[in-house]
Amino acid sequence: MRRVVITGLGAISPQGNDRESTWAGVCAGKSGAGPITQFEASTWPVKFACEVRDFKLSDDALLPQHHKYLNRPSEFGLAAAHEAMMDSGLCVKASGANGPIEKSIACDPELFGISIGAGIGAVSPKELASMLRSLAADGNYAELGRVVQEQTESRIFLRNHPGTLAYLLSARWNAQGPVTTVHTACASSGQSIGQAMLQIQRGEADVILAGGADSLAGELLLAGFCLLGALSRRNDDPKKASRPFDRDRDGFVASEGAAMLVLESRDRAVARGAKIYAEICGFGETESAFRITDLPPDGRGTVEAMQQAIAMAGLTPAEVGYVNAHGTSTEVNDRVECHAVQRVFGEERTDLCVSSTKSTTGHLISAAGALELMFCVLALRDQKVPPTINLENPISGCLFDFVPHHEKAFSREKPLRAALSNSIGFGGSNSAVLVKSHEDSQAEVGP
Amino acid sequence: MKMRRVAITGIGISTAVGDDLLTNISSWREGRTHFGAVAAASGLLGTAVKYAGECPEPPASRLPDRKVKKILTRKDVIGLVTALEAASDAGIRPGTQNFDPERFGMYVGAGSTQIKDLTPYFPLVRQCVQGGVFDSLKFGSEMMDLVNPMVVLQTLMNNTLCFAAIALDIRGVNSNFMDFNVSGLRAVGEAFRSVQTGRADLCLAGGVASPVEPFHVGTGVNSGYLARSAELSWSAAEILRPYDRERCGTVLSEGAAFLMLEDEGHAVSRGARILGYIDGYGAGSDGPVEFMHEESAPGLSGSVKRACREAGVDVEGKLFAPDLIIGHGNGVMRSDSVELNAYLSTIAPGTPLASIKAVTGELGEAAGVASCIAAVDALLQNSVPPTINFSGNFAADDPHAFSISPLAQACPSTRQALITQRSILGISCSLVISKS
Repeated sequence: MRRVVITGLGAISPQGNDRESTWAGVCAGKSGAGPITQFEASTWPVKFACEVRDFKLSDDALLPQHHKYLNRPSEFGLAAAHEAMMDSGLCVKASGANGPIEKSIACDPELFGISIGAGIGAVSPKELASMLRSLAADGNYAELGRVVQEQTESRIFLRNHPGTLAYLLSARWNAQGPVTTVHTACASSGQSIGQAMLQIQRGEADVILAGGADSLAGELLLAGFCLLGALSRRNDDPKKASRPFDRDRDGFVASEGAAMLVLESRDRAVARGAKIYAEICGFGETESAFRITDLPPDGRGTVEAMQQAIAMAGLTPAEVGYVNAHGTSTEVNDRVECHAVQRVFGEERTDLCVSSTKSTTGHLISAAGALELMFCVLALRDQKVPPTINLENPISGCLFDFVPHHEKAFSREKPLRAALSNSIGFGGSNSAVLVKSHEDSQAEVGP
Repeated sequence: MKMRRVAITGIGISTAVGDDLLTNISSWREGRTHFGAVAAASGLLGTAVKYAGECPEPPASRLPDRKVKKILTRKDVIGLVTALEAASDAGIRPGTQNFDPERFGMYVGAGSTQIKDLTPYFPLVRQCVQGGVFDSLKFGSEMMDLVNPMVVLQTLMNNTLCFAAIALDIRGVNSNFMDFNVSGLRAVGEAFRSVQTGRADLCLAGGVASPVEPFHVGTGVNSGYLARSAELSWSAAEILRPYDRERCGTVLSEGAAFLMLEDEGHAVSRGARILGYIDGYGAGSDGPVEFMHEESAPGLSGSVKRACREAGVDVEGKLFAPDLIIGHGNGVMRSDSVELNAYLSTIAPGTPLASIKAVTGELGEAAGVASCIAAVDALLQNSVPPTINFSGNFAADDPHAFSISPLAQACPSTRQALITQRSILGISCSLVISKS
């Protein structure tokens, strides 16, 4: 079985439009929440979200003919992927006669894959309205297909399909190996990355660009989660709204963004002298088989996913120093997840750091697992873990360290060696991904 | 790592032809299509599409809990019923299994965006459009009273997976893929890997699609992917013409297809019937090619090579020689052409090739799984299913290297079948199935 390492990272988030600004914001405990700016929301039950701001997609991130297929999450995904690819050194800028040009490091296209966790996608109400207004006002939609057919913009289906981003990435980076899109709600990108790791382990690919992209800040999806009652309604103080593991939590905060990781066979990365952030070595995926939105009280499914990841990595729970929890700030998730973490790591693990970065980023849904795994990787690099902000009255009965308010640094004597990212999805899918420090004197660790 | 042999122990399929295996198999063998005029409820009145394959409404009695109909869309009801059918065919029924649920997995291909899933929003969206401008303030103030609060749960792409897992107590490996019409075959491939490598003892795997709706049809017509059946003189049964010179686009169908994959030892120990084996799987992508303008399909060639190599398919010269291919063949001019050319560089000349899509229609995410079921039957019958509407004439750019027939082709002995599927954006999966 081949070992797999992470050689590139990229992110777009409400904290910043690249990896390092995102990481700095999260570690500083900065809330990404604020009033919704993408549309006028003053009459909405929820008037705030964690939005990506001041974002502009670089032309370098996609093929020029593909602008017609873009939607908001795809733009985030392409930008994060571009950063990750440049960071990996698989693609570098070089000087050319007419300005900078890209040079790719030799990589067999047939052994280069894409694995993306993507959201459910939704047309914008403006697109929907333009179709509906052409129809009779009697609520008869029998001719809706005719209206779509007659619209001059014929790419509406592909632009809104969750699977299109993987195609755009495969086209941009000439990936001709396994290319796939996963949707298991909030577990999507944890699964997409875990499955990519398995594919490289089995030799089906040498390199896979893996991650997730999503946006819950658009009107129809945000409306859907408002209707479901899953979102915090702390409209008077949005920055205090995402409060995982706090007694006064009242729902999650909608967010958006993307995170991409370059996964590579360790032998290949070492041979080309790549910078290696960490080794990805554990993955668990389970189904809770309970209810569509609820979790079983005993944490079934979540427990087994974490146990599988730890076992696959050949570690014991005691060797894992940090869990980036799913921690959505909803009543049921946080209670059950705490119980599950206790079952896996033991009730007496007071030294185990368990933080939820959703307190600062909000919930990126299908992209959450990728972003949070990136935080685990950077925690190993910088030997510090990000905080859980707004944690004023922690859930009772948990002795582990929720890292409240401020980041926590690890000591040279007792370093952080392994970290686990936990994701729990609507529909019952769970994923857990484990990374550990890459110890190889021949390879540089971290940038 | 010790690789385990992966058996197929159960099958479920629902299409416009019927919601049981025997009806579907007999239609493939006999080349009978069941396309009909599109139902008014599908929202396609006035489009260039006149015919499609639409499933009968599954009776509520086939659901494990009738209340789930409140949450599930039509697509997911079809998916759930079909997944349970495959489990039942494998001898596994809710509450009866005596194996570890954590060793029982499920992979599904499901997830095309459907505008009809957004119908709970339609009345309010219409009210909120003034002079072409969307009034989000009005929408925000009225949505809590006027929109079904379950709408976001109804549109979750992983609902078939979720509800089948609950019904059958599936707690092991799982995923839901959204790779357009390759999704279902990918689900089977990934389930194969999970059983083969010991991550699961058995996995339910398949796909479900309900593309007969405005989004798919509008884009499909505009791009030239769909046959403009309302403007053609052909009958419904003649329109979809895989590999034929006069092919003019595909016909959409809804349906679902699922397989139960199982470690051979596990299957034998519980006395399960073995219908066939999966021997190899490969995936690939075309990379930088343009939708509907592709000139080759390197992703398909790559996936075929990987699947055949793993399966130990016979080699003639430098080309693989499976006993038959159930191909992607969707009747789209360019798609069929690049598919045939991809085989030219990978498959031995003369290999029998068939597409069942002229009978089933383009089943989207379920298509590749339906082809797997056709392959299992072909291997058992030593007969390649007919590619109806193939006149014997290839288009100018098509290689003539493979044996395609509008009639069933008898084979003296069949051992391994290759199944291929390619998405509209150039993503491909291939699988090799062998006889039990």
